[in-house]
Amino acid sequence: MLQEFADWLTYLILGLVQGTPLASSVNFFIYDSVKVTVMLAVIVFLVAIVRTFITPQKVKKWVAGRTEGVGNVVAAVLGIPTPFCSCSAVPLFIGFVESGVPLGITFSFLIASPLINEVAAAMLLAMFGWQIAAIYIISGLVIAIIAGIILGRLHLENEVEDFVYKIKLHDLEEKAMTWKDRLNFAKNESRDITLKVLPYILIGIGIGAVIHGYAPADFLVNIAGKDNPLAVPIAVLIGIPLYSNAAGMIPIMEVLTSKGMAMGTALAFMMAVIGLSLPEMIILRKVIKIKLLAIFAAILFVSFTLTGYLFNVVLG
Amino acid sequence: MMMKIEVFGMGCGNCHQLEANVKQAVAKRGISADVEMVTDPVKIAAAGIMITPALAINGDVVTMGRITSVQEILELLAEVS
Repeated sequence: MLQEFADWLTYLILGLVQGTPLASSVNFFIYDSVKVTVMLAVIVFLVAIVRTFITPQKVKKWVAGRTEGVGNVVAAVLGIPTPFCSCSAVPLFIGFVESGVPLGITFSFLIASPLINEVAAAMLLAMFGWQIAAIYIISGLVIAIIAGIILGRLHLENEVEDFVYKIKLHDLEEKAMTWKDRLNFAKNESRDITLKVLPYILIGIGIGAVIHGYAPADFLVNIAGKDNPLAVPIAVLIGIPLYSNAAGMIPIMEVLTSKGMAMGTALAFMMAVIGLSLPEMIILRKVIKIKLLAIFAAILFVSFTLTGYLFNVVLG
Repeated sequence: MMMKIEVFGMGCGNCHQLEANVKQAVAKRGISADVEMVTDPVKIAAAGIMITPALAINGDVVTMGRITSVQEILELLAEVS
């Protein structure tokens, strides 16, 4: 139905000739933008309802006192619906550590929260299908759990800035929400987030559409295909400092993969972009020392790279 | 008594948006209030806040993790004064 709408708009209303690169680009742009926007609004709404039940204050209580393993799994899973803006990383970190949540479990949450987000999941679902969306969520969880366990085992408590352990926290009482509050919150979130990322999506799809219409199909096979073993680590290395949202990137990813970039490489790049960023590292530096920060970044670099290789083999 | 309103956040776009909403709500209601941006992560955490932006009126944290709308801030202000 959506394809018919895009065809109707492209060929009948805009009067473009079927088969030309311009018509192909325009048709692709219309189809993708409508599909992605609708799916995004729906998924953000559903996740926002879940979110009203899982506040960081509650997560803190649920993971405090858990042992390694179980604690990491719980923290990573709870990290999925929790929204994350890199400026929350520090208060979140202090809040966890102060309530006695072990460092490794704190990191499992801190990794999962930005790495697995509903905007990326919704867009992967719309543009690549449920299998790739599932691969993204599951591998994100595995990375957050394992990286957290490793960081916990390294016993780096001394690499946290001393003042963190000295802060006295005020325990906040949270206001009870009614279902009306929850639905209202979800409606606003859905509207705000969709409108906020829409420009990025449209720019991303626009750039994608140009490549789609004009670049030859095997354009990237040699540079970013699965036979180039260096493609994955280089993509991750470029992606880690980059600060972008998944919204603008996934449409470009869709086109790059259609032009020969291997799927695992594209996923690894996306994870590097959304999972870690330079601004986030600079902010985290306020609470953790350089050594721990470097270990944290290195573990994520290795994790994303291995994930890329794994799915280049599995999906190739 | 002058009302004290604090906006907690380390200075990202969301926090500034909330600050702007607060100022707009204060102006609309025509009250005098002391609006302060709290950007120190230690102070934010010590207030029990783990997710920003957050909003406190007269020391009570009323919302966390979202950009409270002007309309809602007006309602919150009406509750305390």
